[in-house]
Amino acid sequence: MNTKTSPGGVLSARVFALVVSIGLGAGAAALFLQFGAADGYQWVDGVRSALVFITTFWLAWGAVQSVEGLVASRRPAPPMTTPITTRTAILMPVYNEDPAAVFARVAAMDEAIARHGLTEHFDFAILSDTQNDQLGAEEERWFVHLWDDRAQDARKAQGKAVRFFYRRRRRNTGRKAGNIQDFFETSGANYDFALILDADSLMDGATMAEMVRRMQADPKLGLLQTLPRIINAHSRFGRAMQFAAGFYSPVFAQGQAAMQGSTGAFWGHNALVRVRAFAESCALPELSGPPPFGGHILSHDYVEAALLARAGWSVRVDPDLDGSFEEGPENMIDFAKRDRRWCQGNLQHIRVISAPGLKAWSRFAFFQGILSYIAPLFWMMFLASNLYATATAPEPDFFPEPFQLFPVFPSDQTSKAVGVAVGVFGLLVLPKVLILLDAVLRGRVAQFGGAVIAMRGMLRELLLSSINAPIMLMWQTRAVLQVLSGRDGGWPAQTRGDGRLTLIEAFAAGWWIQLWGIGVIFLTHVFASDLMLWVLPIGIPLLLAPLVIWLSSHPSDGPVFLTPEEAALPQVVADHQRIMGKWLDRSAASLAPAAQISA
Amino acid sequence: MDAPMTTQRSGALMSDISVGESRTALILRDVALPDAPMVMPQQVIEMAHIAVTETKLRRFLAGVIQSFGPAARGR
Repeated sequence: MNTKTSPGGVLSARVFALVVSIGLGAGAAALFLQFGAADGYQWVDGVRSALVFITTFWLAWGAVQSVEGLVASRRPAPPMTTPITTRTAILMPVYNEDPAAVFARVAAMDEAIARHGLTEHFDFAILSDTQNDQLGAEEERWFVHLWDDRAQDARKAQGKAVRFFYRRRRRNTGRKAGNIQDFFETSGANYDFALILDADSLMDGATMAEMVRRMQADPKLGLLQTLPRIINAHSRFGRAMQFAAGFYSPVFAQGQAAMQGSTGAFWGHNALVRVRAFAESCALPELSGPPPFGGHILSHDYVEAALLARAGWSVRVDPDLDGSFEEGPENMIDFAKRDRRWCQGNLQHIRVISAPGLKAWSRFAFFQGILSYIAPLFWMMFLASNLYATATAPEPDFFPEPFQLFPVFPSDQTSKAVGVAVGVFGLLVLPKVLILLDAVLRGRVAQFGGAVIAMRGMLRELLLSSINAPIMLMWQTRAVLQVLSGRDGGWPAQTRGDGRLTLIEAFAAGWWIQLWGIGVIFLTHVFASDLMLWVLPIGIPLLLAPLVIWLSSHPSDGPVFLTPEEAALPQVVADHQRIMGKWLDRSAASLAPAAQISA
Repeated sequence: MDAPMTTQRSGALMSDISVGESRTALILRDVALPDAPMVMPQQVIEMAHIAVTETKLRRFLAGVIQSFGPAARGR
């Protein structure tokens, strides 16, 4: 299988990434120290250099991943043709979701499986954790639509076994991980593999079959993760994310896969697990103490991947598997809500990182997750320490010696700080430029509307993400501080739909960020006006936060941000839309007379 | 007042709804998860290790604190 990387290759990829990232971080820190200490060394200069090291290391780590992804990328493996001899349960966990949309996804995926003549190898289990009784009743009603759509009465009449299961837990103990565990403990022995999905997941039949074949071929493979592509985005924010996920993520994922080897990641859905491996390794305990650090493990997927690896199973991400889809948040508020949950989940891994017997790379994966959420704190500290250092900088002493005839001008090291800033900007932009060039050379760019449209997409995404980044930074910083101060974010249901916000909603979510923007610009003006040009790219988006949040939730169309899935709708996505439309029409027709009665 | 308002057509619809509900109940009975249990042994991810770490940490801190004594006396 060409998706596997040899152990030597994995080690080289890890060492290369670490050495380059540490080297670039150290280089940037040294340059910044020279700049900071030009007027005499102060403790704050040391702090600033340390912060430059951490933040540059982190950016470089991401950039190196993309480079490794470009180097490691190969043509996708030809689909396997071995016969499927196993049984797979497709698990669809549901928590207060729109049942029509979810069950129509199940119907579309079953249709995709049926096209390959593999229905006898796949069952579906809808695992509802819905806590709202009215929504629960709706789920039951829509399950009948699914049952009829898939002609299950006829199947039953032929004496064949049921292929669609539905169960609803009255208490969602252990949340999603507990939901899946409950399935394994109730019905796991019936199956060889389980395909774990999210309520917004869609997977093509060929992809599911290929995953099963790959797992059949590798008896040590415990988990096989796909890289889901975001679909159905309509807003400016959503389509920019969708474009980024489609255009850049496969390369980054390829780089990650090259470094992870058999200690790969699990992202919680659109992944196939070997039932025996999962059952024997992945029953998660509750962590001692109260949330946010104790209680149920929120980001259970990373922990499950680590536990599988600990038990000797291989965990693999195969980015070459296409036909795997999910939906993303449509506006910045929904993104921030999801990020709040992920932040708490990743910071909770502080409790798990020292678990006995974990592979070193699993611990490093936890570390990466933790760092990705606390990195905004370092950026904030860097900004604050620069303001402080500038405000408290000693006046230049042109005559340090008594009775000195000629003045001594302090050496100007500003060019070094500018060099660091340019380098940091380069680390952000270079991977995207390289990916664009690679896409042009390999012809992948055609799926994104051609070189010109893809480049426009890249530039616009760069602009939008530069404007959004300071606002996200504020939300992430607040999330980290909330978690560190012991505030539990709970388990809010995902918001789906078009996500368009009103200006009032945007203002309610962003007014405090705006205040910070005013504060930062004011403080800079009063205490460190020399830094104003450096601060404005952060200060202006903060100042305009409600407007940015509002405008980015508006619909987007047109060729920019075109993705392959928009250019040619995948069959399973088209089927989902068709089935859902049909069901809604039928439901409206059947409800109309009933409505007349009640009237 | 309700009875005279119920026409022959609406009565049939009520009956349809009732049939629909009982059909839903029958389907839901059929689609309960199959009974094929597996044991999932609960994993150890913190307890023992935390105890070891705590012990090590306590010993380390005790060592540090004790070393302050002689150092302070020496001064």
